[in-house]
Amino acid sequence: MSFDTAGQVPPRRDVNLWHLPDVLAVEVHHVRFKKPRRYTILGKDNVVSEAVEITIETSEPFLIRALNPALFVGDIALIPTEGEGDRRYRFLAFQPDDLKPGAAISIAWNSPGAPRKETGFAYQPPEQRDEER
Amino acid sequence: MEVPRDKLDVRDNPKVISPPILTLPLYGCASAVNVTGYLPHATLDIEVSGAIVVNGFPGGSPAPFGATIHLPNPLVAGQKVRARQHHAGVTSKWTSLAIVRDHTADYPAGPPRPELFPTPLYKCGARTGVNNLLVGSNVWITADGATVGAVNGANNPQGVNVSPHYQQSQHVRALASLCNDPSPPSLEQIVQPPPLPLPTPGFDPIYDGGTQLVVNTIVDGATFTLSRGGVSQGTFACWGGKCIIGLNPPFTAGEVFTATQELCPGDGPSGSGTGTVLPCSALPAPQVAPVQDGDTQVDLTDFVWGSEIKVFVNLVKTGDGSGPVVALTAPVPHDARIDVWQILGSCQGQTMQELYSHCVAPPVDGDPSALDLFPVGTHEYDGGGTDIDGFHYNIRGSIFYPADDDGVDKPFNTRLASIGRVPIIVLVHGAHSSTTPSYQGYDYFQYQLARMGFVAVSVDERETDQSPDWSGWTSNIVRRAELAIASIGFVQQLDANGPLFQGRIDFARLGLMGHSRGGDCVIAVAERIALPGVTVKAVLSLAPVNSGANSGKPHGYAFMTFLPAADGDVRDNNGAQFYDQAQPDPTKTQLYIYYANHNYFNRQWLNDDTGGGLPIMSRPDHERILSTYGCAFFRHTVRGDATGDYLIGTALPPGVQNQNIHLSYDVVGVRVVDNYEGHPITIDSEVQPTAQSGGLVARDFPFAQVPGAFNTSFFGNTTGNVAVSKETGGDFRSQLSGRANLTHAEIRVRAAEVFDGQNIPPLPTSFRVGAEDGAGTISWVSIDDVGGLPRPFDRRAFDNKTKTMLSTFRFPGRCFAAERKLRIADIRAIHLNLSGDANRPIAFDDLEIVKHAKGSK
Repeated sequence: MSFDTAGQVPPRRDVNLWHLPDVLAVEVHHVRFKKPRRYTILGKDNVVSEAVEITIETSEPFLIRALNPALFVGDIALIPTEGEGDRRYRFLAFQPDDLKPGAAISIAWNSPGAPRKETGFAYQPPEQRDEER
Repeated sequence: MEVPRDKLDVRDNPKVISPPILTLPLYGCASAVNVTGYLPHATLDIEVSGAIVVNGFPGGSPAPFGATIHLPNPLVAGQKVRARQHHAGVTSKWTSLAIVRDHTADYPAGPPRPELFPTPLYKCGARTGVNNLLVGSNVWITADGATVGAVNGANNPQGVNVSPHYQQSQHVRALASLCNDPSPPSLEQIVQPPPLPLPTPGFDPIYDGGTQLVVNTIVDGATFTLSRGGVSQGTFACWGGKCIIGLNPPFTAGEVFTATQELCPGDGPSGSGTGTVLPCSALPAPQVAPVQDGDTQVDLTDFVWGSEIKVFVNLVKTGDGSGPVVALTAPVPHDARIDVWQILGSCQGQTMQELYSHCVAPPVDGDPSALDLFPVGTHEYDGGGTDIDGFHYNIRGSIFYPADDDGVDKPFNTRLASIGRVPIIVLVHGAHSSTTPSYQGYDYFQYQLARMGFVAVSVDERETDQSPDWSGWTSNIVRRAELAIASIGFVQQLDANGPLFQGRIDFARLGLMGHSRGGDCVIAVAERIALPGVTVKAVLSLAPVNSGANSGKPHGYAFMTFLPAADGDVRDNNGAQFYDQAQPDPTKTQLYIYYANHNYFNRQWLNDDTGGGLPIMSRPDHERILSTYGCAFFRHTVRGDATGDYLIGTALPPGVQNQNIHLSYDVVGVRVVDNYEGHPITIDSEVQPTAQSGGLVARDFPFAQVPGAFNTSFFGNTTGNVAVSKETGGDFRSQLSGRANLTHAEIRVRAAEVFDGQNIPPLPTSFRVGAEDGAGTISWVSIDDVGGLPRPFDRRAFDNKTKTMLSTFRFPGRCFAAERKLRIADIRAIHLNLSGDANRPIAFDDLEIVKHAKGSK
């Protein structure tokens, strides 16, 4: 009779849905969209041609789940928008004057009371205008 | 509660015996009827249109499925049938008259398909169970196309002996017919090798005085040999599981029975199992389902098969029959004491099961997901590509549909197609890893919908789960909606000219189900879809997020949402916001489900999203909730089936953890006494004065995560009344603008124990509703008499999202009528009275008066 050597199965790791990656870099641009960008509020589609866009680069991808990551400048939440690759995430501000220079940038999951994680970056208005995309 | 029989002064009137129970419905051409619930060894009469056609049929044991009584002539639609029993010189009343129906009225595409059970079938199997039959139909079993067993005038279920016995790898099916109208074939089973060694049979408890015993652990189709004190009693074929055998003389305590089982003779018998007869003193009281005022029967949840069951209502004998259902000779009055006694031959149980009737205790009814009419075909579609917001998607998904036979791309069911187009349900999954085939995770639900006659489409939206797209949040969910609409558009093309679906699908009866981001998405689909010929009739939003992709106000269709109380992802239960804002067009229903997480409704989402942080029901329990409530919802709202009782809590589905489900519901056309919206607390929605007394303080608060809320435990999107009283009995009175007649109506109110943000007291609190007539007489009904106020679902060990989540409670007028002085047709005010401990706030909303639908429970 032969005996199996019984390969060990790694223990199942539960996924921590509330884990947040580190933010490695923050870029702020004033962007002008070649093709107006659609955004939706309470089911109504709107278009925007320009906005201040904050792009963050993260240490790892956000976990794909029901909720979305949120980005705050001070206490102002920005509009999430389409990212790039799996570690660059973009957020839009349509009223950039509301964003206070020097305000801390933090991230969280978009659930009331979810803990915020400071990025170590502060908001500075974009110097260069009209990056076209 | 079990109580000693000798402590009860019950009057066992031997002249009172229950009418038996005639299994309904009855259909024309049936050559047999089935009768249950009679006394062991009673004789039975069957009357057809005034003439007794069967006289003194020996019923024998009523276990396990009653007596199948063959008729001298087949039934004819329109005939009136009833049954009665005779026992010990006493004759019962007749059952109510049942009118024989034409089966094509209920099953226009032919009788339902039979179900072989249990499965798998084994080589050498000698007997098979067949389920899902119309009583009195003919059933037969084929193996590789040859008939190997048949029963005419079948019961449901029906055991069929098989000869020759099954051979390995045979393809076995069951078929049925009524009026020469054939059913579709059952799902095909392929005969498997015997599961050797066969397990040793066991015995259910056997009691002194009994004449029947149950041998269990029988392998499907095996034969077993039973011995009594070492003397063989014979060999019996069994379809598997449990098999009941009647013997004489009655058993005596200490007697020993043994049994072995065998499939193929060459493989030899199993080990020998032993059962010893227990003394009569061990015979327990039966277990009884909750009883509601006005009930005309008592349902048993556990009893000894073949026993006699006596029912005493307020100590007066009101029923004498057998399980699982005993008909009563009079309806149960309000707040009645009910004692149920079990007798087995010469052994009389020494205890009785005692319970009290409640004003509201909804019955466990039939299974709305079990309607099994057609084989199921499956089709994977690929409708090419589409571009949305610069993203490219493939239009893909799976379709389950009623077919002529089971399998991939089988022809659409010919008979169903000849009747007309069939409704369509479209399912949309939520965000998960894009490598996970999330759209396949509802295959169980698709299968159930298809076999009952829906086309069930699940849209493959994995491409929206890729990070750059997914991170767009609201925009991502809008794109999900547009991709789902593209799929519906492609299915319209398949309906226009596809080989399987041409002319088959009714897009004017479309239902949507979405889960997680998909739950938000399907509301957006309903608001955005502009395809010609499409009418959304119903939307089921399961554990949705609320991103702003839709108006937040579901309208124009029936709405249902599931809120998993242990959701570890969408922990705010955003579906409550949709429910609060939804228009009941014509209904809306919310299920707040304790011990349910986010993921387990989808078979492809494997992880527990609470990470083990909260106690969770099993995955099958989650699926069962979607199956039963989802099928009830779509059947009723899309197709008009009579499954609406499940949506308003007047019936419960079987096999569901109903104690974990807390319903809110609303229907169109009710009288809104107060929804606490748009006016001060001092008046109600009928612009009549309200009054606070007895130390009660009530105020309107947002029931939402907004400033000004009573506290942070409210997660909906409405306003309501939070009342707290310094003393027990604080009262909130709402005057009506005109009299209300509660004779055939009820008061409804949503309510919840308020979670204070920190502590959950050990005991529940309560309130009562008062109906006040024009003379000032008030009749009270306690919340504890209509189900009780649920305790908050405790998430404190996991997060800070323990919620005050309201449920709807029904207070039928008949319950107030117990106060004889009350003028039930002249109700002028409604009271909410805090009858629990002082300083325990209760949240209220949607105080309504609702007329009963004709025939409602």
